[in-house]
Amino acid sequence: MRGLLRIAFRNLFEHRAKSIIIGILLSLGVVILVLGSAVHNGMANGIERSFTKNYTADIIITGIAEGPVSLFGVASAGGLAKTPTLPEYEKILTYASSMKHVAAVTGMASTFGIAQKEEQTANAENQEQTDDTMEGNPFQIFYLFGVDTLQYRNVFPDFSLREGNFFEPGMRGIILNAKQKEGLEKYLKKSLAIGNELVIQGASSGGVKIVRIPIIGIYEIKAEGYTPDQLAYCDIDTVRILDNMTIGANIEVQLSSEQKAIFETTNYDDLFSDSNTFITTNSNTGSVDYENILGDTSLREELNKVDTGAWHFILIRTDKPDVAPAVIKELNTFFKDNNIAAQAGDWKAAAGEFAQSVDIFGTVLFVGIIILAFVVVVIIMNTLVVSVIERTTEIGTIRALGASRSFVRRLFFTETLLLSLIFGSIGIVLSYIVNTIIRSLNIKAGNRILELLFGGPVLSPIITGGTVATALIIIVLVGIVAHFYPVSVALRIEPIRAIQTD
Amino acid sequence: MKRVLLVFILSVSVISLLSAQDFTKILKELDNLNNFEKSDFTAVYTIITQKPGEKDSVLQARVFRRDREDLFLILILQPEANKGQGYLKDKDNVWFYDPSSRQFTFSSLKENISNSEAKNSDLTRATYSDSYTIEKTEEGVLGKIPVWIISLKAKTTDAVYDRLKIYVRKDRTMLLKEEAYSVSGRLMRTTLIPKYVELNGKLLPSQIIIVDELNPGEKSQITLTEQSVSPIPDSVFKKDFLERVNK
Repeated sequence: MRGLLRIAFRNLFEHRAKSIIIGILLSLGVVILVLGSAVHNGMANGIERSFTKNYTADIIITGIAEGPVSLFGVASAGGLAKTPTLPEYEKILTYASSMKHVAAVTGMASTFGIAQKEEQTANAENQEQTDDTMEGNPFQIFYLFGVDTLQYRNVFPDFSLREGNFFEPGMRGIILNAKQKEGLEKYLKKSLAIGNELVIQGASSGGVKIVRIPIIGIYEIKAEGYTPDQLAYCDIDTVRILDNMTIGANIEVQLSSEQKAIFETTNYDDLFSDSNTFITTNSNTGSVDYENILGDTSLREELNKVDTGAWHFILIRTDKPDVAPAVIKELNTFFKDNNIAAQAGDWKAAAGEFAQSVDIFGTVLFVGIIILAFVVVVIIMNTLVVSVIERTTEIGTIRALGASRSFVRRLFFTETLLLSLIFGSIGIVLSYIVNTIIRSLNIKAGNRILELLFGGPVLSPIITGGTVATALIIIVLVGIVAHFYPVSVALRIEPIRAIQTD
Repeated sequence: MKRVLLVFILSVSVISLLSAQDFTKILKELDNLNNFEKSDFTAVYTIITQKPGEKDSVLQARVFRRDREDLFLILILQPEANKGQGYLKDKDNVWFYDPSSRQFTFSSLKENISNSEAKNSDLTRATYSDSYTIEKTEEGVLGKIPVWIISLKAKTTDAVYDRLKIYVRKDRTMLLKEEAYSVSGRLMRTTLIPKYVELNGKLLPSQIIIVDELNPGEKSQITLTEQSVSPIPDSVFKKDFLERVNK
């Protein structure tokens, strides 16, 4: 073995020009593989950090729905379905709070809302406008997060306000971001300040509701590009009103036997079995009691009272992010054992479609790196193949001097392995150096697409042990595969003919 | 012999032409059933919806219409929690009133929808005679009732459904069933109208059943009661009517 190593080293030295060229290519391949993976790692890490620190926490607990439940609603085949109210909220909250590694918990609910123009503003605008067009405004729509005023900032300590104050217990209001405020000002055609009221309309399965709430603060956007600019924070009762989380929401509709029968019908043509029965004559003279058309409305007030125990989610901050999977597992076991229709998921479950979109972006980046790596690998293989073919004469001479086929194979294998390991290691060292330089340069994203690519406002690639090991294994495998075929071809040629090969 | 053949061909052509005109007339008559240009109209609509995995929902509303002045008012009666909510449409202006917050919201039908080229007015239901052409007609029986089965094809891509198959009672122009198909020919929705009411000689649907063919189990039944074509006081089509009835 030692003899083989000595001959391999000597051969590499003999062909030093060739060895250096192949080595440079191998090192470059490792640098590309390691840095590409590092950028991808940085992106994934940055996205997770941004989401968990600012919006999703580490774990989300939701009720069960047909589609996946996220902070932004329930995705279903027919669009967004109603977010289920979390059953046995207090029991789950108490259990979650007592769990090991759980640092903070908070309840939350979310819904959509649409900012409405005051009638005077709208009418004035109509008079001003002579044509039919009016620019649409995305800031008219809100994703409203209804928060637990006491607990929310324990889970999200980085939440900060540029202006105004956070909710006091029992306070009604909305906290916007500066972009949203600016967009709304354009839409409403008036300037907005802390204390001004917004009219917001919500539409849920319980019907349309309108609320008028004051702006109490302007929050800082922490993870631009990941979550919608339309995200606003509300007191929990406002969200409960808009999303029909009221006393009346739990009342079941009682159908008459005829109504039930129609729904149970399978052959609708049977409804037309008698031509005489389905036309009736109406002799109504129109005696409508217009002033008392609604009758007693006292029950309405009762039914519209908010259900103060209704929440959509519980968000959990763990003391270490890597313990989240274990805590999720334990929570799901608790729900199963106690027959609670709830589920625990990670930050990606909480972020819903927003995590999916960044996942897609990550996949695109990953595919890009793979394509680049593939090109580099093909170049390296090609160079290795050529270099071995050039040594056909040498192989014939060694064989003519009595060396066995297996010896020649082992010799070339050792040479390639040495080359791959030495220059692969150099590539790793170079990768760390380049990575350190990139991080120290503090390269700023400048735009949203690059921010997504960088995983934050600054490019922060992360090299992990796994990345290094994978790159090294790939390069060694490339070397072995690349030399195997030409050596086999050379060995098939008679030594005397191989010697004659020019 | 030639003369007999010519007479036969001419007769067939004339009959075909008359038949085609008849079906166009049927479409116009169907469109006219929903036309209240000459009188006011009011009725209580009850819509019950069933969706798999969800609670049944009921929406009951009284509708007031004065088509000749483009006035329309909907007053919600059920669910109890939404009682008193109302929509008032006065030409291009629409107000929504929520009695819980005592707040009106306003929108204009002139506004574009979500920054698209579409306008609210584009969403109004297309009429059979204006939006569709007759592709095929055949005779059939629905239950025990002889019907014309008329296949329609949308004239433009603006129509909600590309193809419709409507089942119209033969002895009196009444739409009994409508099947709506997509461009690929997939059945999307079936609408059945098993009950009608006759009001001052005009036929109005009093029960409509809608079956969502894409989402099995999703069905709605709409019942119309207390229909009337008597004059409605002008004060009903005012914003303060919505506030007043809620006091």
